[in-house]
Amino acid sequence: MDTLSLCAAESFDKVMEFYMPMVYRIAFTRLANRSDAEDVTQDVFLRYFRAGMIYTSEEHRKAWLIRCAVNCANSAAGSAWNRHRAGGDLLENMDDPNNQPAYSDCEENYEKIERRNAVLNAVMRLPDKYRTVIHLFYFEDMSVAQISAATGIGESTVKSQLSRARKMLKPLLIKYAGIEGEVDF
Amino acid sequence: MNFKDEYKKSAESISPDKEAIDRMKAEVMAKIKSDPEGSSDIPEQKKPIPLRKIAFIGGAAAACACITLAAVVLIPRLNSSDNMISGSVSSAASMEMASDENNSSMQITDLPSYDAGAPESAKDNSRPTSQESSADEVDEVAEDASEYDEAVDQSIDETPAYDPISDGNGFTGDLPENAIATDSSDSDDKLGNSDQIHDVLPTDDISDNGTLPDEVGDCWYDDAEADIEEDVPEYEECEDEVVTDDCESDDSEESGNGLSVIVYQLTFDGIDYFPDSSISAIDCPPDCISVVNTADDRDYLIHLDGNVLYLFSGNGAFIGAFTSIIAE
Repeated sequence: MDTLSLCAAESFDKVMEFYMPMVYRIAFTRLANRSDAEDVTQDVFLRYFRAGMIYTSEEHRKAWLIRCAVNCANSAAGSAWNRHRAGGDLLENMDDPNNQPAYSDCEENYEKIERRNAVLNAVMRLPDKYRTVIHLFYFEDMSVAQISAATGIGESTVKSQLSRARKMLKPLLIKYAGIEGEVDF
Repeated sequence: MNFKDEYKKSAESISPDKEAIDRMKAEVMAKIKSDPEGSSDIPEQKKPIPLRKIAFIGGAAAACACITLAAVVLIPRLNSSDNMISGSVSSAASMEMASDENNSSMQITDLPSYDAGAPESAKDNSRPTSQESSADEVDEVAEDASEYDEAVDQSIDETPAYDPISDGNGFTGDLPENAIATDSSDSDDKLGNSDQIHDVLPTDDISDNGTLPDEVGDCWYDDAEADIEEDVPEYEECEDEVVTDDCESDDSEESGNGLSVIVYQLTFDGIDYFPDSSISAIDCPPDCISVVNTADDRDYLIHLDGNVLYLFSGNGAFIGAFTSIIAE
């Protein structure tokens, strides 16, 4: 992709339409709240617009947005409101029908729905720093180096966080393991 | 179970729907239109609160406040405690003096003659008496002592600690036999021996050259000399190594009312000097001639100022002033 000037209104609208779900998911994974995730998403794209940067590649743009989303989500999570909010609020949001995935009315059978909800709940029960790493690694398909560059933490730290997150997820997902009885990460 | 696939499917479900995306886009565009530069919407990174500065300033202020408070609270207490200590010391001193007075008065009251003639107030041992009151009592005793001479003599012999010449504060008065001088004011004022020791020299009767006029007749000096010669035997003759030609004579006698009186006469270069209580050391500091009394091997300082001879001890303490009278 050629270098784009994103100050144009059309280009910015396209960028928002393309990257907004990604930014929203990162924020939601970190904050576990739809409203907060929407606020963070708006903040990220405001920063993106006002930065007025010229990106050399689409990967550059994506990396910038991911890093901005992670930083904004961390800032929002570290705010006084989120620090003093009860931990049960996160679970309430997860049990909220509005937070339920859109596939609740899909045609998949109940077992699949239950398994996916269990996986998402298991990830959401992880510590904050582990959730972001898991999401970027397994959903965004980013390498350890890319995660390190996007989050600003060292690669070894990313690896150790991934390893610990897997260890924490195993007992939570052993119920839904296959015939082998193991979860394939 | 493949966690990656399952998580991707579940995470896709949390993606915002079309309505949410449009709502967020509209809000972002509205914010951009309202403030394109983003000076107000996007808060700048706030500076962290300078906790160290606040702690430092607060600590310093608290320390100053504590010091000030302590000073305000403690200084009056210290002053009051100092007053209490000084008051207690003074009261202790007064109590000690009172006890001394009581002891001395008790010794006096042991005498039968004193008991008979002393006033009732003098018998009250419990009353704390001052130094002057004790001297007054002694004067009273001395005035009434004509009929109790023998008893008082006995009391003096038995109670060496009570010396009426001293300040009445327990000074035993262990004077050397050849004591040159004493505080003439004490002896003059308290003892009332004006018939033997002339307090103030009648300066009107002295001419400029130090001689007495003829019309004065028998001068007081002659009387005094006569009294001294008659009543006070000279103890010994001393040799002053440096200056004195003659010796100094100091005598101790018992007065007519039974009290011990020391009469001094200094002979210096052929001039006799007699105690003069009206002259003090303030008039003339010692600066002068060293005299050694070989009798007791004590150093004295003598200063001559006109017809007045000032006598000081070796360490500069004022002993007495003596006035010379040169009779024709």
